[in-house]
Amino acid sequence: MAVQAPHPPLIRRRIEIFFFFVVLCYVSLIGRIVYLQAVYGDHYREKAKSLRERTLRLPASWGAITDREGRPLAVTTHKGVLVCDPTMVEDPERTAQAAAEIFGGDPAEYRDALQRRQVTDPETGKPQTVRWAALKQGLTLEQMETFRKRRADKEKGKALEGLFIQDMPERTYPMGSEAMHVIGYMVQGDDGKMRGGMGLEASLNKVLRGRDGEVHAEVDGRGRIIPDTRQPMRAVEDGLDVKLTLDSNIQHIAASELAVVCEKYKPVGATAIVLDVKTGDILAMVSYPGFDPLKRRELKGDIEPMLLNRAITRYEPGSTLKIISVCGALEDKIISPNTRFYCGGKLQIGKRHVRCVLHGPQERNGHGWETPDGIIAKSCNVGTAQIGRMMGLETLERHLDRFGLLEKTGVQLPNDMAGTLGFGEEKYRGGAGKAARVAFGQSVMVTPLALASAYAAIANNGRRMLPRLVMAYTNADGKVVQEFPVREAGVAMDPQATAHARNYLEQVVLNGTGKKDARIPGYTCAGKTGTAQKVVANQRGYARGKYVASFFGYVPAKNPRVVICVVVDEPQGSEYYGSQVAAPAFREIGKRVMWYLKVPPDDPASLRQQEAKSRVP
Amino acid sequence: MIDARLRKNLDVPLLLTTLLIVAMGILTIYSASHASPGRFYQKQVVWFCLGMIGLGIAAWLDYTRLPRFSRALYILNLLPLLIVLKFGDERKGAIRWIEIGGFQFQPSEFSKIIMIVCLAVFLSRRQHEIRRFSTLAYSFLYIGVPTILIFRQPDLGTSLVLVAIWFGMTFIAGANLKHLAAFLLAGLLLFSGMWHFNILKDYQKNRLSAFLNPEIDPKETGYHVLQSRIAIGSGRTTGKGFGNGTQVQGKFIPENHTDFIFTVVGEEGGFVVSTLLVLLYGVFFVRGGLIAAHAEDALGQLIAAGIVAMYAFHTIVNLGMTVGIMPVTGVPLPLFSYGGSSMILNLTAVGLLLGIGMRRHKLMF
Repeated sequence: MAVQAPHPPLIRRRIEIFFFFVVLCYVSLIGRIVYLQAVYGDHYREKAKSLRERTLRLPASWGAITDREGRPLAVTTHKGVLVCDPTMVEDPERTAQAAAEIFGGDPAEYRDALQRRQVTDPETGKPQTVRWAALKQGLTLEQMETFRKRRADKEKGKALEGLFIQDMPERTYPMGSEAMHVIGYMVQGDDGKMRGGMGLEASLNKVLRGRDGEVHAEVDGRGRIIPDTRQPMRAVEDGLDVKLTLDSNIQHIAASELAVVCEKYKPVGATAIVLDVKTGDILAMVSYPGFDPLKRRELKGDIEPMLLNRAITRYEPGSTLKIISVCGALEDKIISPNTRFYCGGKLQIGKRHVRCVLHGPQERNGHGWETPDGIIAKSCNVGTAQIGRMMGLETLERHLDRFGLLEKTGVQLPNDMAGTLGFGEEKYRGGAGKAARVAFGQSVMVTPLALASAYAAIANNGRRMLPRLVMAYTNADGKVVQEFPVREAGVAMDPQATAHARNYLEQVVLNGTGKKDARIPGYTCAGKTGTAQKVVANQRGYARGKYVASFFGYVPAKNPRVVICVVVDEPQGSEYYGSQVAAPAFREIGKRVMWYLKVPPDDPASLRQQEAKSRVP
Repeated sequence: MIDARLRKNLDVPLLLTTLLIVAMGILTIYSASHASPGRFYQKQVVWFCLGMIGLGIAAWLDYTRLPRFSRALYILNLLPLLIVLKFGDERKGAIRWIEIGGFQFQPSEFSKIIMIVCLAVFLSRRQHEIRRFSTLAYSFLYIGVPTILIFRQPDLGTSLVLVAIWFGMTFIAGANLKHLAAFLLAGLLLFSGMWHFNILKDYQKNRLSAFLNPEIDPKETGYHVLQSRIAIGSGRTTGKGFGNGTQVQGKFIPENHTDFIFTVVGEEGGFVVSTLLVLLYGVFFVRGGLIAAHAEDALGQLIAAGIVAMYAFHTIVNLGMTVGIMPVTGVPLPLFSYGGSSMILNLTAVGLLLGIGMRRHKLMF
């Protein structure tokens, strides 16, 4: 046994000090535990809960838009999209390489999104963690298969961690640009959600989109959902299908014929509408210019004019309105079918002159003496102005109102415009002079759709049907949820006056301004040309050389089936009359629509005449 | 096998406390990892059994015979540290393991106990000159060699433990307080120098800055710090129940069976169980401290004090980082965290402590 040195008392003293220090540390540890668990326990439990809880969206599927026969105009398909959760990506460089290997392209394209784990919230300015980003759209089946195989692989799968394939809805438009102004399109908002950009996609967005369902669930530390914790909060309400009155075939006919006109005359804009006379159904509604909704991202420059649906945009109609004022005067017995008017080529109203468009040497000094049928057939402004002056503005307004020309048409499109007397507030300024102008379609603005609907009312013996675009909403089972029946707005003109109007309009095509180009071989037809001067913004009076050429008519004249209108805004070149620019399009559309609707020809004589003509060398 | 006189002096409360802590640890590891494939709790039981053998041997061994082997021990300690630097396995950016016959062990863990013994021998031999600065500096060099090797692995936690042990032991041995203060100051200067000249690894720096402000980057470096605070806090007074901790079970806290194991106790056991565990460690220190104070000779006092200092540093730093009052350093909770090397070492250290306790007052018989 070795002899031990006595305890140095210093060591024991130091041990006591050391021990005191350890106790101090322990007291502060326990103090901290009290602080975390006893004092702030509830706070941390709340925080823990909010870390675990997630609200998941169950996306509702969008409804389709179809034509009257159920043919698709806007449908949703699902496509594989490569997405990522940047917080789960360990090495963005490696993952970008692996992704590019499977899905093609440059790794740099993927890297940016993979690296962006945080963004600054534009509203609050606070950093936000990014948990989702789309990397590549339009994956092929082969790519998806390769991805799934490699993802399952133990070694290769590691590089693909944080990448997923999601089925994302994609909206397609089978008719492309031909129906885009009516159908519209979906756009992706800043929040990644799809919204209606224009047309029915915008105005019926709520109906089409339905309502997303919600599920509450808890997630683990990696953000994966723990299966047993799912709790449905709200059921999914799928969007409804919308069935339109449009007929894809007629829409295509109108679009292709309008395209021919636009190709030839290079106007700033144009529209064509086909209406069912008996029901007011819109069978076709085309506006120009337009674009294929799926290619809108490739468009450059100002697309604003392309978004305008000219069928429901106000314009000064010009001569096409004459039939309503002249026959309105007949109905009110202000004039009779035999009342004679003199046209000397011009007429002074107030400070300015109303002039007639005169053709040929025999009209050098005006249209001469004429009755209402001649005024319509030759489209005499001076005659119509005199009738308008006799009627007064209030009477005219009443007639326009009865045809629904001064109100919105009521179709479910955004920006559906009401017509106006004058160009705004100065409605009644100008008194009798104003009435004279309104009578032949100046100082008054209507939409092509409203005017086409008025022509349909004339063709329908004075009974006006409200234009209808949407037939019904149906659910996924094909059951009709809401129906929009055909609606009559009332009598727009008494039968006697209507009979005169129909007679006059037929004369336009037989002997008047529409004689040359509006006749549809094999069918009787009726209609009215229009060549309106344009008012240019910030300039007094009407602009020289700027016209809106139009033709409104129906076919067959004896037993009308459809109203067709063609409006061409600022045709370029030497031809600008409605009879030259718009009437041929009316004829071509009418020919094809009659054939498509299998309407038997009611005027075989004209067919034979035509054949005879074409046989002559 | 063991003398009756020695058996009489066996510190039963210390042994019981140790066993209680280990039992709680194994249960906690079970709760934290029963769902994962590692079967950590089963392995921990094996480590415990091996550790108990170490404890028995260490208690049976007469520590007074240790000075003879101190030089050999010192060299034996350096060898594996050198080997691990050259041939070790890399895990999580650090090389700490050596594999021998299918078993992996962490030489830096054993380094701690060896250095306690060597330093105790070193200091007990120089007790009369301990107040000289040169002795203190020499002792620092003595422990500095293995410390730097461990730091190079890099294992900041364990090298800090060695420095802490040195501090504790030289303090208890009676070193001049002014000299120690000078070392502390120099240490702080050295540390800031290392920070400035990028000798510290990025993740080590990040941990420290995350401790100071975890909200900077809650998804990355601050993640551990914030998540463990939330988990422990959400346990409130009575906890969520064994195996029911939503945060620890939901893998919000990585490493929840090793360094961050206290979060499991905090969340599932609440204030009651976490305080109980802290108090158990307290009992452990009281018993350890008493053994140190009443040890027969300076060597026994210094070994015991070194072991207590090691335990104290480990528990305070580990619990401190888990509850968010200290920066994150990879230091396990002794007797509690999962880990073979650490379990065997810690039980062996308890054995040494018990042995020193058993051998007090032996001249009185």
